[in-house]
Amino acid sequence: MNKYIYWIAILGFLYSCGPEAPTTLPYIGKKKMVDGVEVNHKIPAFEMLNQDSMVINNESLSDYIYVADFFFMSCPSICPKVKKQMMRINEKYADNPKIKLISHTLDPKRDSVDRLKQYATNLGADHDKWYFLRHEDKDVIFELANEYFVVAYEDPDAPGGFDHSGKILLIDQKGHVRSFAEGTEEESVTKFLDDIDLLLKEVSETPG
Amino acid sequence: MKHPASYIIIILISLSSCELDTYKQGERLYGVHCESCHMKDGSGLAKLIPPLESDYYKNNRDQLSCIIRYGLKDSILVNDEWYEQEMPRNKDLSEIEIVNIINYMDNVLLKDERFTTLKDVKAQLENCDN
Repeated sequence: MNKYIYWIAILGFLYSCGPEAPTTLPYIGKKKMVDGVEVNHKIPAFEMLNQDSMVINNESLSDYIYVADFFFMSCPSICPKVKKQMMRINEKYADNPKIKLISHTLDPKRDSVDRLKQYATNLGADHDKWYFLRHEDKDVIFELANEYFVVAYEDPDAPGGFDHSGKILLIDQKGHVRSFAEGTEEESVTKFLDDIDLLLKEVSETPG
Repeated sequence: MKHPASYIIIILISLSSCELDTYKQGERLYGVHCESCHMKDGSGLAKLIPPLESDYYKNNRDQLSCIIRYGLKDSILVNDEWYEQEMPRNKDLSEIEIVNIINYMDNVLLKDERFTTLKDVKAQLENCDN
């Protein structure tokens, strides 16, 4: 009989100490002081063309939450795996009008708007939902990548000529980074999908 | 160890343990050289990177070694879809490594029981177009 009591105690202990599902997402990044007020890290203003030569900037995204990644078309290393996971996210939220996907190319020289359009089509992307963004100046893209905590730089020794991390990031409608996943790992993205649901819930409960 | 059956059991056990290691190197090499594009399960990526399970793979079986070593530059028709992206070459793979990759793809990923030998791969590589 004593034996059972021990087991019950252990089970009870484990249960009470188990991780509770988070109810809100954190704000990722270092807080800054602006005019004496502490503010969360925010993606700075940007303006780029998408695969349909449409201008996309942070204002056009202000009504949406979005999922972002960085890639280049001729990337032989991690990009296809990350894109497979982006496709998963795209499929899950295909009918949800509140969410957009953004893939930034790191290689504007080779990835022209036309080629990005073809790539997006081949990937089966809905062009109004999944934007493939390009900026003439790759340094602008590298700097923007930093704001997403993605390391990206040109490296002639790296496969395909660029080195970068395969993170997928979740940005809320105010431009704050709220979650991220390792885009090369299916399980990491599975958890990330839960985070997207959580943010969608938060957005629907926030007035205005 | 007087009973002859015990010898048979030992032989069977050692055989079955070898079996588990058959595709180890192939699996590791596939992971390093192929998986980023063709994916862990060989499914590829939409209409950008073709799946292994295809008419193209079956019809070009005698070219597999050349394709793995030298890649592909031209568009190819796979399961009625055109794939235009260049496949990079893998020049550093040895002949035996190519054998192991092909056997891993056939037997594990495509579940098509067949065995490619070093002799097959050598013969293919002698006749590549590249």
